[in-house]
Amino acid sequence: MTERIDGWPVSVLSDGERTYLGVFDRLGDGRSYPASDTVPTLEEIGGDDWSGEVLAQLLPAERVWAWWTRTAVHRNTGLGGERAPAAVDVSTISRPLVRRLLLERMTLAILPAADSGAQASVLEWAGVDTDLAEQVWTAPDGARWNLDEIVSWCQVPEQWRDRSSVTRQPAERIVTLFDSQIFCALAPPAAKEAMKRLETLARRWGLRVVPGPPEYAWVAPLR
Amino acid sequence: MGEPSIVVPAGKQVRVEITPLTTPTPLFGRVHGICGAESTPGQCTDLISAYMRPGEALDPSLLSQAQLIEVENQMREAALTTNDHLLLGLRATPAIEEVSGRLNPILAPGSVGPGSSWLSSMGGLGGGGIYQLMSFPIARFNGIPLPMGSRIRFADPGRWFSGAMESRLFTISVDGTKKYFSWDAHFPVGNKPHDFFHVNQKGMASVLGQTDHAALTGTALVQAKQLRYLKIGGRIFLVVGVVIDTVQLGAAGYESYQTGSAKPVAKQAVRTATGWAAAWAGAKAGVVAGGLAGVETGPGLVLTAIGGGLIGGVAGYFGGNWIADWLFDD
Repeated sequence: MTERIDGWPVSVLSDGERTYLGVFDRLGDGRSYPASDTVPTLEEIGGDDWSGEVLAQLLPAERVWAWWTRTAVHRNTGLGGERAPAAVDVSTISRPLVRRLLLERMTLAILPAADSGAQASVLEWAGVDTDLAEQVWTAPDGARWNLDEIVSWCQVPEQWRDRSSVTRQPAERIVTLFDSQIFCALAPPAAKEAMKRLETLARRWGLRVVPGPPEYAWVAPLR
Repeated sequence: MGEPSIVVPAGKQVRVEITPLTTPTPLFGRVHGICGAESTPGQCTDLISAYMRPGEALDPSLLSQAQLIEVENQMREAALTTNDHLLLGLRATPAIEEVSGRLNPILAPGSVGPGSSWLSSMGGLGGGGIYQLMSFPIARFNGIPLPMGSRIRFADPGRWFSGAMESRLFTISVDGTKKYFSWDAHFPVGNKPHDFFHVNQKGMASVLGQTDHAALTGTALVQAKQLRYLKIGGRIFLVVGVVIDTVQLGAAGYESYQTGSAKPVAKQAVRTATGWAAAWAGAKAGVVAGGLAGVETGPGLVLTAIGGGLIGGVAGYFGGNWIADWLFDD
């Protein structure tokens, strides 16, 4: 008789300042990354919107979000937005702002805090192309964001793959969607809260969170 | 060269039924291929008959659907792995399926016109790569019906400058949704293990039965490898076309400067502009015609459509040259 698989691996790694959560996109026992097609995927468990449900547990609605995504994906959301200035005081943002890179066809969208409609669009569309990295930053209290610096950071894989660089960014937390996985870097107390929310989601899906390998807690550095 | 080998279960019979075709009509509507019977379980498919010699057919009343699928897979594998060129090796009559179910044969794409020089020839080949920049309606993939509004494309320029490898062989997306299904050819980009040729998808696993990062195997793997070479060829043609046009325009500008006449550069500008515009239109028409020349939608469409796109693009490009010569004829 085959044993029913109900483990959902989430890798956790902490360096003191930040805790990194690596959320698997498929079930497993957590000892290694399971081979494709040997175990159910979260898409099969949670449906097409599984990633949105995971993101909803990781992204606090009461904060300003910065979403780095493909321009085509941003257009599909219908979010729109005014052209963003080079720097923004996050406490003053009341409407969506955008910064587009024409050649790269990438967009940095800044969304006001507690804008449930805009946030729902991000939850629905973020990570739609699993080969391309997307980032969602949430703003710390009273932050003034230099958008050029955020764009520059998001554009360079060597930077967002490097945990020490992640720690230095002016973000309350950074969620990276890459290679079908969802990674989240945040302060240790917030990480405990996020894990509780993931465990609640797991129960709703009839699953249980199991610890994954630590090397899957954040995107692997470029080799 | 190997002939397709068919293993017929003991006690079963093999018989051929070729789908009758009616009068040729102009191209229109969505590309469906000619596999109309596939949607009816237990019936012989046109896909099978396409790979068989006239006079042979599978009797659906004697073979189960599972056996039909098995035989179909064997034949497809055989057709794809012979030494014959794939685009020429399929024996289907190109046709379009109308809403009524009537099948109409399709006329072949137009022939390629003469080029004026080797540079023009290279530029013409560049036009042939244009099919990769467009998307096309698709109704089925490898015999599996796709959601309404599905489109297929072979390249996404947005990926070229986004730090992403251009390793995507094709993407099928559904208009207005985030659903997509693609074949990729690359090594792992993160720490997640997967095969070099693999699926990348979101929201289509229930339709196509393959989850994200599932390995391509069997016939799909053969198709993916062939598509990869065709795609790379088209990309090189496109780049060569752009470079050659730039060189030609520069040379014409110098000639205009030397002679004090705007005619050389104006003529070359018309050549370039109309060449690319016509190549675009030609590639689009060529892909449609090429797709219709395939026996199915899916990689059959993909491979034959690219062949058609190359022909149409080249024909369109040389059409631009012809217009320029006509306008500025001395």
